Amino acid sequence: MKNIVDWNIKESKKRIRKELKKDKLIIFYSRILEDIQKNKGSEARIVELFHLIHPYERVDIKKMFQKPEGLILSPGELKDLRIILKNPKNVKPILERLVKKYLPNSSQLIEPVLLSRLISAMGSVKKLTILPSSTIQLIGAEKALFRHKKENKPTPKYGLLYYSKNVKDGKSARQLANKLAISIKVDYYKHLAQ
Amino acid sequence: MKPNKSKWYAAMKKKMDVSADGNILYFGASSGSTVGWLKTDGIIFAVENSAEMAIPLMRLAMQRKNIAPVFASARDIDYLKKALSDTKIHILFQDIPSVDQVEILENALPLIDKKTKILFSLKTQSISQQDPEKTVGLVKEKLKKNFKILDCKSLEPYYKKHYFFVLKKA
Repeated sequence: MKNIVDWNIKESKKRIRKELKKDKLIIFYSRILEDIQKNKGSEARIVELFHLIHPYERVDIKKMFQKPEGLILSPGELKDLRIILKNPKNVKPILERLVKKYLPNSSQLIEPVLLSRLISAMGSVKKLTILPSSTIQLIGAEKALFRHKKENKPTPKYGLLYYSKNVKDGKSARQLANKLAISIKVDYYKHLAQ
Repeated sequence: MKPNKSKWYAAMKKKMDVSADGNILYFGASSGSTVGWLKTDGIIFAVENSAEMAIPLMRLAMQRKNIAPVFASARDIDYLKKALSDTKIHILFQDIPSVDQVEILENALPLIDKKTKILFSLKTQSISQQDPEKTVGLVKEKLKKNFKILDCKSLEPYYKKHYFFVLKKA
């Protein structure tokens, strides 16, 4: 009986590790950036990160850089992590570099920081790949969309995409969302999923 | 534990024959709130497919001695056979609210034998938006091909539009 339980725990740990992808790190950094812009502290975020790297241990920040059971980071990413833990305000250039590395095609279409906000709003890159372009166009405008459905108010034309440089009106938002829906599929299956 | 947090406990409150004993195969364990509450002599195999939900389940399993977490899809029978390694299953519980709930149960037939008690919790809304009793009628006809229906009740005061079945292999 003990053999079966131990074998299952060991095998499940291996399989869970394959499911954890680097987009979790992108979401984590982009939420830290939002916290800094709202003048919030980032202590609770660091606990969140600890659970990502060591999912089965009690929180102890000193053990952060020991051998991980969860997400594996490359040596360059570990160096960046040390810098962020010292001073969270350095997060913006590191986040941009990370997004450009894992999503090279889509980060040429819109700004990397904005792309990371889209990912953090949906929860993962895989969820973005399933969406149609019309839904990507309206991410972040859910309140306006349901106001339109219930109370017959005018339709929203753009959500978070409005913060991009290239978007001026509804037409350009639609065109950008169309391109983005294609390029994010290429990025996910070519670079991130392996 | 509250009856509106666990379908197993809600069925128990409804006076159905659902007492836990022997080895249990649990589909749809989630973060393990019901699994942690069950008490048996054998092993509980908790099958879960989402990484976010499986991590709290793993933490629970490392504290206890008789919970074996299986991180796999309930449709993946080849891996499940490897994980069970020919253990005899006394109770099969299935709680996966999805359109092909009955098909998942039929898929799992090679894992069990004729004495196994099957507990099956049905969410009618995930199959169709019509009147719940019509959906239950359709599901019963589907189940009769491979199973014998011993008991069927609705979980009304605790869960809306949910039904609970006790089955056996025909």
